[in-house]
Amino acid sequence: MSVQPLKKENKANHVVVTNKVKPETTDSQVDDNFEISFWNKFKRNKIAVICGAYLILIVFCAVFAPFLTTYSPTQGELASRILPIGSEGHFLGTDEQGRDMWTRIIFGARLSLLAAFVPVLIGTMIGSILGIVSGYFGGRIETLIMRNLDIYYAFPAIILAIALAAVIGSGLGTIIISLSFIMIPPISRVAMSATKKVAHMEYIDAAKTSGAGHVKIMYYHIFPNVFSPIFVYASTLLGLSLLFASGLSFLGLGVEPPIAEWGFMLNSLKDLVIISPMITFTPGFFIFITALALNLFSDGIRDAMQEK
Amino acid sequence: MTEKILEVKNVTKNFKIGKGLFNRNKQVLQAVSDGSFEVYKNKTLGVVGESGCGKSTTGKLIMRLEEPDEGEILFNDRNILDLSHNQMKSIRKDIQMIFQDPYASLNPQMTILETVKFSLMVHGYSKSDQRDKALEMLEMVGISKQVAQKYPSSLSGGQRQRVAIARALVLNPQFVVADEPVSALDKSIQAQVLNLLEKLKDEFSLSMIFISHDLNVIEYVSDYVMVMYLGKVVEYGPAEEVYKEQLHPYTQALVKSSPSMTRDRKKSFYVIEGEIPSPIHPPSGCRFRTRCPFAFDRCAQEVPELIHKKGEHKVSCFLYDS
Repeated sequence: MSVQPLKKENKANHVVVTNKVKPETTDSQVDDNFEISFWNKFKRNKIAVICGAYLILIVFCAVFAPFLTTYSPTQGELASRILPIGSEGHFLGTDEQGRDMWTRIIFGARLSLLAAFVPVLIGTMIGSILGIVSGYFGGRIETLIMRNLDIYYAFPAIILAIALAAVIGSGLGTIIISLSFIMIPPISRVAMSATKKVAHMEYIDAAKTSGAGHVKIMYYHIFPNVFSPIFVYASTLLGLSLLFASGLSFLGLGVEPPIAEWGFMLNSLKDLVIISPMITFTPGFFIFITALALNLFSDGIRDAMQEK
Repeated sequence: MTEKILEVKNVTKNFKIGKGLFNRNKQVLQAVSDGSFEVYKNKTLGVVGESGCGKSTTGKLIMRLEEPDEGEILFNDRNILDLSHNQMKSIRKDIQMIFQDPYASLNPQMTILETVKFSLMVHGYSKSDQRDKALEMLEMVGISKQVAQKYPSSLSGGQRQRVAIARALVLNPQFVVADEPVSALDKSIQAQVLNLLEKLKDEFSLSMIFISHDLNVIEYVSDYVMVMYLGKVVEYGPAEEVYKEQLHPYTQALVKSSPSMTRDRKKSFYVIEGEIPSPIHPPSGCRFRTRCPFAFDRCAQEVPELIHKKGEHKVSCFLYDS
């Protein structure tokens, strides 16, 4: 009984050896396993994995917030105001109006994460298009686009947000729009320099000789080849975007009370810092941890994607 | 004499270097100057010369990847330089190019099938036609259906170059510019790709410009040979005649310096004297005079023209001026 399996193994080994003579098969295995090798590399970075798990958890909590709490995020009980962390029924305590802090945190995560992700998403979309167009055509078009974007580079996000708030009123939209403007120029630059490297490749010339128009060339040949550097760079902006959004919100340019949002919670709780400092620190702690997790997570993605 | 398919008349291409708003000393690099030649139907013109002599630029000018500063390029008696982008699109079907570096000429994010399908898509073939034609073409160059689903990174150099050939021929062109299609490949693979090109040339009744720095390769594929030096055509003629008797001193030197299997191993290689001059400041008169063993006064003063020496065999050298 034990002899037969051994023979089979030998046969299998033999097949593998003959296959290896052909360079195609070995090469293709490497190629097909690219996604797997990405995960293997990413998995080795324990900190990035922990950060990724935390981010999944916080997104999950934000999405399913109504099912994870029995309290209302906007209406408190006057009887249970400023309860310390670890109180019965309110494990993160309550604020000055008696609202449960845990409820406020997970409902606040919705808007805070939205205000962090959406500007990066919009910035990536617009920035990629501008960067690819200017890198592909070069010359005057590049000068025109890039010098205009330099203006936004020099423009502080806060001034832009205040100006916008004066025009369209304060709100989450104001934060998202002004942060999107801030995200566009750096992403455009990354997209442009990546495009410049690709635009001189012979396969672009080959596409031109096939008679394809500029839009088709940019869509089929340039974009797929510049996507990964843009994606990696944009992910590093997520943490920054969260901090910016919370900062603007803290200044009162974001949501109106009583809606929960981390930056604004920090603002409304600031008077409690003497009476019950831990309650005031809670939203700040979540901003800090989430921004840190976003940064370390994007570092992990970058490292796993770069070394092939 | 057979019909002309492509005629290049007095084409000049200069590249401006040192661009910039405040850069005053702009320099001009003469890549191709006053080049004229023709390609006949179903014939291959081999273009040979040292690197930097304007061979590849000539190919790019014909493809309109670069716009010439002066001159005319007539394809089937139609000046393609006058055509707009849209008019050019229909001509592009008939003129295709095979690029030098098979590692740079295939989009790494597209499968082989997608790469070949792309040109068909541009020219408005239906989805099923695209697939059928692309697979059929790949079959002809010896790429199987299984390999067609792969990305270029898992293919060898020879396979990639065969894919590049399939991409060029899938539109059924009349004319192909092959820019050093085998110089990036191993010798053993070179022969395989050259044989494939020869076979397809007959099957598709192609006319071709074959650019190479390798005289042996040129001899194998060409019906006509054109020798270029520093952007100038120095010799042009039927391959047999040029290989039998080289007229221009540069061609003679090239043939002598070419390595061959039968050469006496004790002798060292013949080396053309001096360095190739910069195309930014080419020598006056004949451009080869600085390295030419036969140069005399007149070579520095006048520019020699490409004159008929024997039948179709042309040369631009004062030694033959009488």
